Amino acid sequence: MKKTNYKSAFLLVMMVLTYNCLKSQDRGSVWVHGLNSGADDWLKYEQLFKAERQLFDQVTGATPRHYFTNGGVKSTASQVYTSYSIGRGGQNNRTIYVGHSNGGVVGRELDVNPAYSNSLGGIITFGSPLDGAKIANTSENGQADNFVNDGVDKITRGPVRQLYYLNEIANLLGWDAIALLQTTIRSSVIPSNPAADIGQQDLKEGSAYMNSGVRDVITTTPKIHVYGNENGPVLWHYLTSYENIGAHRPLSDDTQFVNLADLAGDIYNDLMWVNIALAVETGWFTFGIGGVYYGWIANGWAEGRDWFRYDAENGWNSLIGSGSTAFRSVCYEAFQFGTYQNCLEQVRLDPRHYEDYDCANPATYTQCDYYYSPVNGQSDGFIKAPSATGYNSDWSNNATKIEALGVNHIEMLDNPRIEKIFRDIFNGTAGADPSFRTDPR
Amino acid sequence: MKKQLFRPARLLPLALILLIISCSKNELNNSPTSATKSTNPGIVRISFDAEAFKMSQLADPAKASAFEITAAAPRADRQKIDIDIYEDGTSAWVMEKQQPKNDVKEHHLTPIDSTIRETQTTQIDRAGNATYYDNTGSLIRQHKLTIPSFNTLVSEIKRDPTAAFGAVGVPSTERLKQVLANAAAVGAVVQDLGNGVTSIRIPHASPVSNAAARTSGSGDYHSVDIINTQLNLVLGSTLYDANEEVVSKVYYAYTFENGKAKPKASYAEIWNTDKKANKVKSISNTYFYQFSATVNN
Repeated sequence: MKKTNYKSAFLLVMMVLTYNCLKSQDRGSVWVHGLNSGADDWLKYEQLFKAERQLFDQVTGATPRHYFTNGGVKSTASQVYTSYSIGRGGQNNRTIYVGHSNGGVVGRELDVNPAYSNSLGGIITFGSPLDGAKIANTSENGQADNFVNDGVDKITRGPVRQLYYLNEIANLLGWDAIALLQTTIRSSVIPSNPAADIGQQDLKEGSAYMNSGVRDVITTTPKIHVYGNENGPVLWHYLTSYENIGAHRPLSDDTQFVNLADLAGDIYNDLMWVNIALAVETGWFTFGIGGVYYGWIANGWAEGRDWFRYDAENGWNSLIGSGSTAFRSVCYEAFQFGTYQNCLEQVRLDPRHYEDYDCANPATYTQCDYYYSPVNGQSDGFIKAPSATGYNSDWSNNATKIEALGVNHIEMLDNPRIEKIFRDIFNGTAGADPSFRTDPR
Repeated sequence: MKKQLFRPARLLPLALILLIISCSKNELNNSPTSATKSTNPGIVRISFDAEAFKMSQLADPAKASAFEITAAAPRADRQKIDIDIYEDGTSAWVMEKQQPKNDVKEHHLTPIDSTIRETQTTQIDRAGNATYYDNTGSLIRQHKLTIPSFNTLVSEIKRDPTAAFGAVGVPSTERLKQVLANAAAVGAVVQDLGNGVTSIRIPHASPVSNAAARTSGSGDYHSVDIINTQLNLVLGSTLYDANEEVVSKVYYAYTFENGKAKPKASYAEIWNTDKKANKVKSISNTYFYQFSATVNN
């Protein structure tokens, strides 16, 4: 009896140990970075959740793993498959695949390509251009170049027209940086040999790869698409994060350039009004001789102000494809310059009664013009939300879509909201697909 | 997909890095933490409520890029402005943002960052320290600005305070004649068109011809003003660039109170040359409301 009890207890302990051992290595994981990006993109979350959850390294060799992406999506997929298919545990239909940006597109390739079928148990994409990335098109076709040059032109008009502000604004904005921006952008914005970077070519909207049918394949593999919905102004938020990650600074604050653009907009606005006031002052509080010059200068400052406040944001959204236009009309009080000569002639004939002539009550009229009003849509500041959720990809039909509000493309790699989304996914809560549930260790 | 695709934007933040340095350099330490009106009136106080409206007309929208089209959209900004001008030519400004009459708001689907505090009030003191406050009156930021001196105006007023006091709103004939004579002496071309109308063509300091600044159309600019010499009012003006091409044309409208003229509106057409050498015509109108100017003895 005693002997039997010992035997039972021993078996029980062994069962528990075996269970725990199996449980602790419950699911393999594959973490894949974006286009031409570094292996450490997922460093934080890969380490965090492999320690916290029952996830193990599916890939062979040291992790995080770097993949060469310039050979295109298929080439990258091949590298990734090789890395995990012969790794610990081999292919595992419970393996969770996590891809950022291009990494998510590679995940889809692994799922739909018969050569790799049934090798993954679930795919999570973060900010992945599943329908293509418009910026890949616009950085190559010259629109991005034009956008930057247009910006430089707009923000220099005020100080160029009013020389004594030149140094002041130069200190504010940095001419050297702007000159660098102008000269370097032409040689670097367009890849020197775009055809050689097949990865970028594949990600273009309407590319041969995107239209190869890869989006039309329907699979039963569980999928989650996390898409960023960055707050406006998305450009300045995104650039702050981009600058921070490049300098290896924390991504916790993405408002630096937002505040700077705000300040620049305010200063340009101030100087616009200062010059309008100067135009009035030239005539002892009426419009005076030479006042037109100040009005013209004021217009220059207004152009710069509007670029900082509106045009940069709207232009950027059009470059990344999340901007559209709505046809609107605006009515304003306008002046018929054609009547100006008549007015002058009347004054010439009898200048004593200015008020009695049309000059005093000039031929103004309500002008209504139609114009294209910019409408900025949801994006992570780099990839528009519809593409990140596979709006035009049948493969995404069964995907759970999770919004990351206030998170940009870079912040997906390190942000409290993303961390919470990961936990929700691994807990199978908050609308996440329960098939991604991965228990804590 | 960072490095390659991020190239277009790579240098944009660099252009603003110095802004950070500049901002911190110009931070002020002893400014009021809430918006207050100036209690020290200058020898001249100008107050007005004005709305600046502008929109562009693209020469060929079919060939324009998406961002050129959206940049052409109308914008309106309205401010209530009080300016005190002091004896030493310095000035103090209070600008309060108002709701524009022209509804040209954009309706984006993007959520707006709730942490952004928009400037409601700007105060610029006589030393050029600009302080920005939000709609609760709380300090947002500070920056140093150069404000042009009003020395010429002040010296005129000091020279003849009585005449100056009486002349507010309409310059005196004597002063106008003097201005025209002085201008002619330094190269302006004054032409009597008869029947109380005179034109004056005056040169302006050229916009910089600085490669770093990359200006377009730099050179010797000059303006031609059409003046009613009996009412002593400028009726309208045209600004030309060095190639004698019109860059701006403006018509001024006035209101009259007790024989004094006050600005009512300026209607301007402005031609800018974009980076593709296209001429882009902008409508730039400014409407003035409740304009007042007082000279304090």
